[in-house]
Amino acid sequence: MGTYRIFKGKSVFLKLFGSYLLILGLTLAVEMGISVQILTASRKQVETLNKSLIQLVRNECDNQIRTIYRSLDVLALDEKVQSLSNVKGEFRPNNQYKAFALYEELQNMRFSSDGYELLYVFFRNTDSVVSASGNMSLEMYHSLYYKNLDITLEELRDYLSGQHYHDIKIVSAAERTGAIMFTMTSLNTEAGGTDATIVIQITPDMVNDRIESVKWNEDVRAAILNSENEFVNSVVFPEAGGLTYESAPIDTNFSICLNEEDYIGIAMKSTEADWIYVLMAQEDIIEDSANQVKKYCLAGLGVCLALGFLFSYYLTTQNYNPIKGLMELFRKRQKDQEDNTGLLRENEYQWLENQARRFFTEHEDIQRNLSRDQKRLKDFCLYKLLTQPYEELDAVELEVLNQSGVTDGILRVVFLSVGAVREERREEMADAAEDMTQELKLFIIKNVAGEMLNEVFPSEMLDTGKAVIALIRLDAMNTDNYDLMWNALSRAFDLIKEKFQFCMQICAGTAKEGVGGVHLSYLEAKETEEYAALLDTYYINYNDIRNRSKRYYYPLEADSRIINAIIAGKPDIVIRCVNEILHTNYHENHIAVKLLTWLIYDLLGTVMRGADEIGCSDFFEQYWKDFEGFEDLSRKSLEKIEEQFAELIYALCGEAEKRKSGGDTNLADKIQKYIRENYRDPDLNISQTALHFEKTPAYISSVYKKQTGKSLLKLITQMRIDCAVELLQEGKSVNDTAVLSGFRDSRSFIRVFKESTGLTPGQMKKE
Amino acid sequence: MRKKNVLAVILSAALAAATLAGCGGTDNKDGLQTGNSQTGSSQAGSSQTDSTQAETGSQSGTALTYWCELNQNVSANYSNLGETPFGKEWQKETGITVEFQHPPANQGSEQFSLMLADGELPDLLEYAWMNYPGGPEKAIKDGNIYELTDIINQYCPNLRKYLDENPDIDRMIKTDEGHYYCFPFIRGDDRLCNTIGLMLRQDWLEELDMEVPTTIDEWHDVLVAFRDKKGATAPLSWEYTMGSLTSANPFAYAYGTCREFYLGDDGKIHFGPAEDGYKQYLELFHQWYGEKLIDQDLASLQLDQVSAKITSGQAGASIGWAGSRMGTWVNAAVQTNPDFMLVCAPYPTINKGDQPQMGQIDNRYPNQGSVAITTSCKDIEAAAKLMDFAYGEEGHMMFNFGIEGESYNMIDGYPTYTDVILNNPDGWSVAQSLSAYIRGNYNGPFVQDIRYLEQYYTIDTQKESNLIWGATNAAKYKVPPVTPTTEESKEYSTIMNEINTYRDEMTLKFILGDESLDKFDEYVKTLNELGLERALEIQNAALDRYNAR
Repeated sequence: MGTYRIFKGKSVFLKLFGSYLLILGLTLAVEMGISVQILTASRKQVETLNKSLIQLVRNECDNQIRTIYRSLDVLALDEKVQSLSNVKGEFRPNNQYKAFALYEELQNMRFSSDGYELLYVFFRNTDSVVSASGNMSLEMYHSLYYKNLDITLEELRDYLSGQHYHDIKIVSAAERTGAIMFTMTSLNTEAGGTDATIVIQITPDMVNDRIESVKWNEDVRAAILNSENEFVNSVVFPEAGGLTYESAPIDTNFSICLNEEDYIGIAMKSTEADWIYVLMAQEDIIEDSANQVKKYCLAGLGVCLALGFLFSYYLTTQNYNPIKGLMELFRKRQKDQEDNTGLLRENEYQWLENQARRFFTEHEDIQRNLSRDQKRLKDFCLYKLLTQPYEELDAVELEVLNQSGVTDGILRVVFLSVGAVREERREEMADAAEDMTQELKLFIIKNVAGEMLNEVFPSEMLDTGKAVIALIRLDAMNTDNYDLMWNALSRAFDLIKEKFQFCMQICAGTAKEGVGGVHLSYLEAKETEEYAALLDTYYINYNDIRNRSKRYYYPLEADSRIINAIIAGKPDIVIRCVNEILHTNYHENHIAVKLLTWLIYDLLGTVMRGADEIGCSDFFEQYWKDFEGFEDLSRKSLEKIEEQFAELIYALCGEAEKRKSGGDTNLADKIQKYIRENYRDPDLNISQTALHFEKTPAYISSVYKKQTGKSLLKLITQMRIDCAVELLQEGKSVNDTAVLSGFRDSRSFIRVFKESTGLTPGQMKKE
Repeated sequence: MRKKNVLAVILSAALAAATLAGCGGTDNKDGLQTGNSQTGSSQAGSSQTDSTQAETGSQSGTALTYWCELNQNVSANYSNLGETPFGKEWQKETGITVEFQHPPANQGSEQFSLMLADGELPDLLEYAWMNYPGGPEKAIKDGNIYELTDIINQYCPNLRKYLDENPDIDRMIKTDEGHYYCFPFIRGDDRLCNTIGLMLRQDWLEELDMEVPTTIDEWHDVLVAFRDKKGATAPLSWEYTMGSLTSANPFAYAYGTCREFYLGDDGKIHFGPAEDGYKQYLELFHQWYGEKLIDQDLASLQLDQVSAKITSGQAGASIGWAGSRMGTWVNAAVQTNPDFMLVCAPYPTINKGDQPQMGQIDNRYPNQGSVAITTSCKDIEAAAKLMDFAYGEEGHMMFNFGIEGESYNMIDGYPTYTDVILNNPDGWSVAQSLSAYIRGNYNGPFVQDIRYLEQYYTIDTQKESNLIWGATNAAKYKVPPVTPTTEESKEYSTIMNEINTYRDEMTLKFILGDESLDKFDEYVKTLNELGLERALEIQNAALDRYNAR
């Protein structure tokens, strides 16, 4: 049992474990799906972002360049610039105001165009600068505003002296960020020549700011590369990775490895300058963001999983609680014994165990009862099969019989009973057998005979309480089988006789074909049994008694003749009639002993009816006391029986004669006197009265009635009512009256009073 | 039973997982998008960190908001006045939490206009209130600021006491209607009022064996000597584009005139550029310009250029402040030229020995850094107490010298700045370290102490500047802080805008020779046509009202 439980538990745990694994697997699969999705989505997102970002950057920067170009164009055509460019040597006082006006214009331009670091016009002929920060020599301008840039005065002068159209020069710097110079030589018009160069200088920071302002992630790098592969903005990629102005793929996403790190990049060409804008996003960013999302997803999954488990655990505890369920089941069944609730609360497992133990004990009992009942049912059906015609059995009963092996075949019923002790053998029997009860004997017969019979033929044994009926199934209807059966039975007989010192009476019916014949065989066996006492043998076969008469002869006319003779008071005629009947039956009909007994009782009944007719019904009560001769009448000889009857009839007739002469006429007076003296006693009744006169109540009342024509009970009641009326008229209370007049209580008094007078005692009293 | 349960568990978990997968998908999308928008907003946010930081700085229930421009010497090291030792000490001493708000640099007046238009005013507003369109009286009438008479009388015993003791200042800070409108910045000493003057190369003078020039002629000689002997390409050079310096031209003052209004001997207000003296001044400068005694790039001169020219010896004389110009230049130039030294020259006269009459001078109430309580203020008492603190003994010391034992020590009864100020361990300039601890070196709602300046000037010649430059009758000619009436205000400013523009243009043209001085009369006529008479009328009426205060 123990090992079984453990094994069972293990398998459940395995199942549970398996289901957990399945859930885990599901989760992991979902998670993997999610992460792949996220990665792709992230990459796509990054690429889209990159693309829009680079477009933004390009638009921003190109706009800036366009604005700068526009400013340059305006200044290149400016009259002041052109006229001042014609001045040679140095500005004369009369040029100064124009220079001042130009200064003001530049200043306004710089104010309006936020972000111009430097805005100036270089005049080659005068080597001077007109700038938004004031007018001065190029030398001073250089010393003031180029001191941190990697360009010497000569280089600057050389550069500015050249011809430029929308030129862009990158000036690097050692410490700070460099500068981007947009230059343009003034245009040659009527007003002047091309000896002025306009410069708008911005810092790469400005470009960077624009890039920064549209960046979506700190780790995204954007750079601007010009046609000489210089980085226009201050952002420099670590190891340009061979990325050059010419080689960079334009407008498509590409992957590149810089500094051993993977980047996703996109490049776009400027529409205004020979620049390409390059944007690089580290692959890590994508993975980082993907991982970020993945982490939350995973955490979410975990939480859901935990919640799911908790929820299902909750459901399980709610819906699946075997102990609780069992306890409730037991409790429901035992509502009435719910007194020890407190006790079982304390230790419900023990309680449950006890309940279960009790339940199983009951279950076993029930099974035992059931099998016993089944046996009983079988016995019942068998009994029915035996005692009733086959046709009256219903299908269920037949089915039961069929199941218990009582099927078609050669069937024979044998009655086995305790045999009467024969006179001649009485001495052989030990005293022990006498002590055994009928029941025990039948039990012995049933078992011993059953065993013996079953050795030769399958047999059913049925104990009826009076006898054991054996239903034996024979192989075939032949003498060998009969001999076998008889041998078995005789062995049983011998065994019982030897061991238990009593004899077994065997009365066998004939063998019949089929179940339908069983009843017939039973009847035969039963009939046979009737002869057991009559025939002085322990083995009786139906065939032996087949020709014996079943009925005694007692015609109705004989009966009435006997009664008439009794009424007429002619005992001789009565005796003659009785003797005649007995003779006929005993000698001519050879009736069985039992039948003879019945016949005798029949005759006795006739005599008693006769006694009734002549008013001597109490005679027999008296008579049986003294006379015991009829007890064993059937076992006595015919002569003896006849003698008995004669004695009885003479006694009866004598009594009748005596009655007629009125021997007991004063009994009524005696009774009346007795009652008058005693009616106040509430215990007085017919029995009391009979006891007083040492007669039976029936005799007393019948004698009283016969002699006075009145009922004795009525006499007693009338006596009491009369007294009560008297007392009421004297003014006694109802209660007192009831007690004084011999009623047990006032209630019965009122009831009886009303019945006999039609009035209640209260009404009577008023009158 | 048990089997069924296991199945239920699996099902519920699978369901949960499925739901989650759905959530995960959307999460992903949102995550990236929000990430993007967040970076975007943070970018946007960084551009306005100044204001947002100030707003989130201190948010206690009783915090007062205080709007002022952040002096560039402060902004060099701090983003908010509340972060400075000064700001902290002020709040600590008064027990009032102040939340300082600052406009972006150089956008003070724009932001001020925006605030007025918006109506979202801070509790306290520091501004040059006489510049309020229509004047301070208008500001009160517009319902933007409180009239302070009752408030000062009730909550400000210190200021009340100071004004009672200084009736001339009391007169300056009122409107014509006699209304107080601000907690004023007051220069506590006349010497704090004359801060601009002429300076020139002392080492050159010594080298050339010349005296510090006192007359126009002597100046001519010196400048010629500088040009010829010292090779100065721009002997006299100053930041002509800086209005306050150009207005305080000592050579114009020598001719009894100036670029602005001045108070004449007749007690009336005169407009200098329309007077004969101005023509003489222009003639002189035109002549000097032609002689290249004056910087040829005069018209567009800015600080960078002038500084470069002075320190490199291209220029030998300049007009400027003793502190921020003279001190700076000397300190910068001695790095390369140890002999470099500047000396203050007195305001020149035409005749030797004459007493210079006119000169640069500020009003004691110079119309800057004054604080008004706006009508948004809920806790007027706290605001008034915060303001009044500065006019008391403790507040005066704090505003001018900072924290005793930290930024200054009392030595023989004299508040002496410590090395934290004078030799800042972090390498800050004196101006920057002063700005961290005091407001005495610029402006604000308090009375400025001369002892600050005495210590701020570290070079001997700087310390003499007050004496040398102050030896004039400048105060006599100084127009007091008059205000036109609200009604006249707009008309006046329209006229003066045109006049000033025309004046500046013509002045430059006369000097540079672009326009002949023969046309001076024509120029004066044009000024009158532009409404000079009317402007003078308004000004004189304002003066009358002022005198009547």
